[in-house]
Amino acid sequence: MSLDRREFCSNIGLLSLVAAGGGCDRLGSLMPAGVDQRERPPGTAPESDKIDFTHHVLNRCTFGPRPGDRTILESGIENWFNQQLRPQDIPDPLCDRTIASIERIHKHRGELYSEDPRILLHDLVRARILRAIYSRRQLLEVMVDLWTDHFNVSWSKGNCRWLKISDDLEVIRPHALGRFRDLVRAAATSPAMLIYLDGHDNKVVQPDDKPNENHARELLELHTLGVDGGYGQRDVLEAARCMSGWTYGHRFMRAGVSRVKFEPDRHDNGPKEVLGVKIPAGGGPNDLEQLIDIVCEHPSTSRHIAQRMARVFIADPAPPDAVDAIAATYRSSGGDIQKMLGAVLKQQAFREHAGSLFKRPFRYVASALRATDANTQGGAIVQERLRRMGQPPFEYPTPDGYPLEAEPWFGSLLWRWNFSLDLMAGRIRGTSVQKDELVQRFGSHDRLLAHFLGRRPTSLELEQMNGDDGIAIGLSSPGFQWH
Amino acid sequence: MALKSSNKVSGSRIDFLTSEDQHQPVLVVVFLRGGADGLTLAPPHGDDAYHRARPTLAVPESGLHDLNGYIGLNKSMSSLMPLWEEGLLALHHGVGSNDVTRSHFAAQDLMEHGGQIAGGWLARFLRHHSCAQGPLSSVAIGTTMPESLRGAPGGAVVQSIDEFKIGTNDRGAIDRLRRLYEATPGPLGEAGKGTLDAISRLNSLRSGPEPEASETYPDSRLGRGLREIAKLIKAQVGLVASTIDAVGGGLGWDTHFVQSTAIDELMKDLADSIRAFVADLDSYAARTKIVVMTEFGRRVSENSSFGTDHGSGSLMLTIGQDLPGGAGVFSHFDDLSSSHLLGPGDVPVGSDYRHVLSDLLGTIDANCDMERVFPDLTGA
Repeated sequence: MSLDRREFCSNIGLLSLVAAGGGCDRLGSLMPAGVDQRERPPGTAPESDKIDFTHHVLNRCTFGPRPGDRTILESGIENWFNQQLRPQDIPDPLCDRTIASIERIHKHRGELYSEDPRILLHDLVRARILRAIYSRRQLLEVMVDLWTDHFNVSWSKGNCRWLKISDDLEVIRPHALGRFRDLVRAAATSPAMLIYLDGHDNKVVQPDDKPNENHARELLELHTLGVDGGYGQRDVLEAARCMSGWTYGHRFMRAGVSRVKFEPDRHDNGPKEVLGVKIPAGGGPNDLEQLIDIVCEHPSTSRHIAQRMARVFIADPAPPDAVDAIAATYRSSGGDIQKMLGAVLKQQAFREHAGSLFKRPFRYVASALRATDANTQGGAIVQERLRRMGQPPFEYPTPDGYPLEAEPWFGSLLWRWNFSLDLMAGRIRGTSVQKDELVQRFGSHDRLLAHFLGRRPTSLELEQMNGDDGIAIGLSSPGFQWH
Repeated sequence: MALKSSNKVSGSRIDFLTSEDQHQPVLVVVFLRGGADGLTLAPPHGDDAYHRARPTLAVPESGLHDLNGYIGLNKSMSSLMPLWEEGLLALHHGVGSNDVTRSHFAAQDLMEHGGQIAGGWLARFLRHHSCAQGPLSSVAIGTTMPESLRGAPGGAVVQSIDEFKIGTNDRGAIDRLRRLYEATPGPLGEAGKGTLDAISRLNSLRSGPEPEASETYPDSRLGRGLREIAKLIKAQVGLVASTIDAVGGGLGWDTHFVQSTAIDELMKDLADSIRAFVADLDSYAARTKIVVMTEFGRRVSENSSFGTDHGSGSLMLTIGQDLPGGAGVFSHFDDLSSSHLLGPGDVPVGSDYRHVLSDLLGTIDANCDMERVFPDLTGA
């Protein structure tokens, strides 16, 4: 039993519940096995007065630079980036071992219904935090973050409490760097999505039955074309007819029984027309495939997806030229996400907007823990901090996902400051920083600050960030809120 | 609405701190966990069916204040009578959700989410509020985050406002943060300074003497919690919504067994705490609305152990100045004869509780799109 379990127990009052499964009495090591074995290389600090390209790439393509990351990029940024595009070829045994030890999140969904859903959420969020901080496949994690918002499924609706794990495992992660069409296809029949957007109840049994349009509307509005993408109410209805009959088995308790299936009796098998493309009658389950082809090939979708990528990687609002270029790559590559990311990095706008994006709370916490090479369990205490800041993973209620713009997050400063002050003072149980060793790895306090800020600190910053809590002030400072 | 524009600073939505005479309207939610018996809180004493169904538990005329000839207010809640007389109290009887499980967990979840949807109704309200949300926009008093705030744009669960501080309140750290944020242009600098100001207001409140009014609160969890909420409102730190549970000891409002031994104390605590809260708020009460709600009501007929079992429709109280629809009694059942009852003999749900909430939220933020807060709610 690890400390994490212990902190979890005491923190959210599930003591009795977890005690039945073995208790919380033993104090384990501070770190989950695996990532505790990681190397602790010396740090190199940026030396310019402006954020340089190396730091900028690390800011945007990872959850923030760890000590030693700059050295890795010295062998060639392009080379590193191309490796990041192929996460399956990046050996990551330590983080893999840690994630494998969180057993519940690898279970088949049929086995999950006997678990307390609050513990499932805790485990899933914990894996998300640990991967963001320790995984060597950082670009994959950044893209998982992007698609988790784009295909938002809130944990808190009905059976999503049990099904969210399989959505993460089977929809988001396998396709995060693949083809957009595959991602849309997987999301459209994800059990969690079918529950979340009521698709499981979209049926046309009698000739005058009205299909449930919720899922189809979000497919067009959020997942593919975008709200101004040029579709009408007629297209929503026709898309809903295409999707009718896809449902999720409602027999939950026995392992392996519940699955997504197409029920011909609930499908509207008549002729349809979506976005001007005719779908002949009798298509059955193939109507869904045709629908997804039509929406993924629509030019509005290329722009909508390019827009999101530009806002996450380049600047917000997105520079129009960059959106055009990324959208063109979408169209020429058939929605190849790797090629689109390649296009992102080539944009002049990408170079010009270093340090211009406001970190959302999840990134803020991850980047602080990475910058200080902290040991963390990613347990309930860290998760509660994220909740205070307003971004606990998988809990955004509406289908549009956590906001990308800066404005909604300015109210979270108090909790950011407290996170950093508490982190550096050792007041976050289950999470710690080896402060003296960290300074030694950079050679000086000032160089450590440059590592946080991506540039040499100004004289005002140097003045305010000295002394005992200087590191905490550095992490709390305006400069560290941007990436 | 004038308030909205006055909250804005040079076109941004950053200023969550408001000036003294323009503090934001605040909603305080008191949730009676366990399924409170609306027929005891506000007995339909003018209904023969009520007396027939409750031979031992019906509240006698001597135990209530008559309000409209049909509905009364239990005398354990006498301290709400001054509010009633001033036109600051509305009773909504026969309201509830479409829950059919009669399970505490399922019914609370449904009610706090505001339908079969993800996230809490308060969380969606705050997400779509037309003013920027600060660090203290939503505060839950207690130990666990209520589902109504699931997915909120931040917010904390605290037992005391002493938990709102920067680090260990070290002066040095606070001064250095202030220097850094004061030197920062734009909305981030504004937000940083606003946050520092909010905490400094709370600090000066802590070091000052307790206001006289705070002595009148009952020494109960609810009384202590409402006193903390009053402090937050008076400190003007950008509070928009706060929630607190009235749970009581033992089974709380879940009165299956010898109901009268438990519920009289609970009602008195509820009413005394709210009365003290309104008095404590003083001039701030003008912009504060309180709603008292519960997950479901209880069966009309008493059971054989002098208690009542899980039912459907119940009572909501709304308290404050200029209540939407006015003060008074709003009863959504005609009488409680058995042909009018729901399922196994429950108070019918004559109106969806979300109508009461959405009307009330309209007074907190007139520009919030209620369809985004309660997407499943139809009709008026």
